[in-house]
Amino acid sequence: MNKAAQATGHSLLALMEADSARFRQQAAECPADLGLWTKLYTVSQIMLSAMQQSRVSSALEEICSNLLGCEQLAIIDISRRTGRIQFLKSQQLSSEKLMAVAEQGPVLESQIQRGTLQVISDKRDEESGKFSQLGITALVPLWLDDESSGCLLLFSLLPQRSGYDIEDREVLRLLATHAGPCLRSEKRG
Amino acid sequence: MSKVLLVDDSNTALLMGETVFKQHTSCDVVTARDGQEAVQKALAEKPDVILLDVVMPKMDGFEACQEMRKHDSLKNVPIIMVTSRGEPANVANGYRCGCNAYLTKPINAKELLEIVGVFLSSDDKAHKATRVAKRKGASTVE
Repeated sequence: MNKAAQATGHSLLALMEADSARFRQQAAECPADLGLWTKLYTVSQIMLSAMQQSRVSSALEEICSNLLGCEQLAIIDISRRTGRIQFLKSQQLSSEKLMAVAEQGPVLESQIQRGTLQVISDKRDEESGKFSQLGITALVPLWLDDESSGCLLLFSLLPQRSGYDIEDREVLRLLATHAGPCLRSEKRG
Repeated sequence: MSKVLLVDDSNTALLMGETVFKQHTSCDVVTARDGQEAVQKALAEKPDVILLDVVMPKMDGFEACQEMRKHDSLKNVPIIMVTSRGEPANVANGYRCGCNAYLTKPINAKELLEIVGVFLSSDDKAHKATRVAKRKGASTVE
């Protein structure tokens, strides 16, 4: 598990502030990678401010919509004891689609346990095939607390997007390390 | 010093835009969070270019663009629609309402700087910007 996943409260804030400052500096110093560093800085700042205002899940929606071009998403919490799925948030998804996702609980959990970002279109295995059929384009694992883990599921991209590029994948990796601890911190109040 | 008015109801989009312009240009950046505020700020701040989201509370970007074009002081200010709504009907509507270029989200920072830079620096602003935007795949009007 990464540093952010283990951090709580003030240490999480400090870690995120340090990351944010680093991304801002890189954005100023590396014009060739301006888009990448600006996006990472924006994500870290928005998450930092959202955590302080207890609006992390709304911030995730905004980030995915504005920076990735994905308006359909779900944030899922899976109990490690019971395997039960709980939708913490969903946007622009039908109840039928949510039920179909819920039926894939065990498969989702096994994917989450791997702990790495998964862009579904990159894979050709049986489990990824099931996600593809549901319209899932990326699975971002989130570490929520000792008893549950979760994920951010991204569905169809806007028509003008053909897939996730290198910048998008770095944004998704940052969300994988920071979004879980922020949600956890929000849950604990 | 040039002034850019960024209009969006999303904190994420505003921060991204502000960071791009503040880090890599000498532009002043002014922001607004809905169409009504955008018209007020445009009249008060006299920006050199306006980046306008479409889906916003109170007044959407199309209405705001039309409203701005009614004022003499804003008739020739370049307005670039920046939105996730890239459907042809929306693009056509943007031009009917008076925008100069139409970019779809997610924004590519370099393209944004290049297109805005051309609008800001050239005497033949609209024509040059159209050429650059077309090369970059953005929808523009001749």
